[in-house]
Amino acid sequence: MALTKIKTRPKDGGTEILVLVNHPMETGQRVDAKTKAKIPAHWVQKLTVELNGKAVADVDMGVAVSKDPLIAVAVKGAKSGDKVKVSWTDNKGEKGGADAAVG
Amino acid sequence: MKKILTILAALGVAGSFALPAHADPQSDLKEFQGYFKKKYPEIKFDEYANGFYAFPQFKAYRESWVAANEFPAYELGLERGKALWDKKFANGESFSNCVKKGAIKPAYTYPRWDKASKSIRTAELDIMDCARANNADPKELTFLTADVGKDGKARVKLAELTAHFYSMYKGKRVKPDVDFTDKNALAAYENGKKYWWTRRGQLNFACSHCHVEMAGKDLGGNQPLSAGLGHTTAWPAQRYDWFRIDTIMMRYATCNKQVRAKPDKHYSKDYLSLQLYETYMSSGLPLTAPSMRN
Repeated sequence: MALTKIKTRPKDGGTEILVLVNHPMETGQRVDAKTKAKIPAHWVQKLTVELNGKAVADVDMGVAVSKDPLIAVAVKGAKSGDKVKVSWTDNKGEKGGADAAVG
Repeated sequence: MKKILTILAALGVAGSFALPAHADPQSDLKEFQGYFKKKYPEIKFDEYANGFYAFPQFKAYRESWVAANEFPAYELGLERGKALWDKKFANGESFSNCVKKGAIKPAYTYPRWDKASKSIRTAELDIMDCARANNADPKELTFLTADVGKDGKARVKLAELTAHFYSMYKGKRVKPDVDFTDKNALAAYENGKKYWWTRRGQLNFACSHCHVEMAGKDLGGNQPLSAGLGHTTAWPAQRYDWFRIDTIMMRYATCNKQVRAKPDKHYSKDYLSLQLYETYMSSGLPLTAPSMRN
């Protein structure tokens, strides 16, 4: 189960949405030390952040992004109670996401 | 008369080690904490609970640490730990019930000395015993049967569960529940003290070399050394390059590896004694576990 967590905080007069995704982000280049077999690639391809149903960020991610990535998106004009929705898909077709409200 | 005998026995144990100080734990504690107070008068006592980030010379490390704490990565593991903690056993009991009944003691009293079994009990050991006493499913709580030193998945599960337990006591002052008038308890403490001050490994370093004498120095420019004071308050913790919450026993094993010494097994006598000694030396500091660490 891949967890996704969202936090919001005021920053520079706007709001910053922080998204933490629990994901292995395997590049497909690593080799298992014991079996010498390649560990199959497994990484988040696309991550979307929506504010009140309107996309504020489409993130195209690659294998260079670290394990358990933390994505920060700065938005303007978000009010307290606004709905944040995050959804992502990875190269294996797995999906994840979470909902939160602007604090 | 009995008291005199106990004191004599205590002196006998303390006297058998050729260590810098032939002292009782209370004066050891005073000397240990006094050393750092004297060496770094500008650092507040409570700051030591934050590991090496307490040192003003590591300001750059602290900045990134503060940023990491805005949304610490250990929250993922902590959430899994909470789910495990809240889940009831098949017989209707739960970990919280164990706390209520006293099978698991408050986190700040660990490691404690158990008179009946004449052994050091850490939170992890008591949590495992609580699960075993309630016939928990070893397929779900894999750490009950697995060798946690080798099975990383099982160990992380235990660490996450323990981290959640510790998080409920964040900020409480460390006060290990050890009765030093018990000569076995004192012997365990002395064993930990001996471990801390003894050189080991190819590099011939004792714990104390890095974490007392050289505490606050940056070894090789990229290995900031923490003060021994406050070592245990943050654990179970998540290190940046570990990407997981892990146990203090695992940290001890990696410490040993860093001085090219053979690591001990989890919950070995020496590691338990070391945890007791380190925690006792950190008496009075607030608990900060789980934390982010370098």
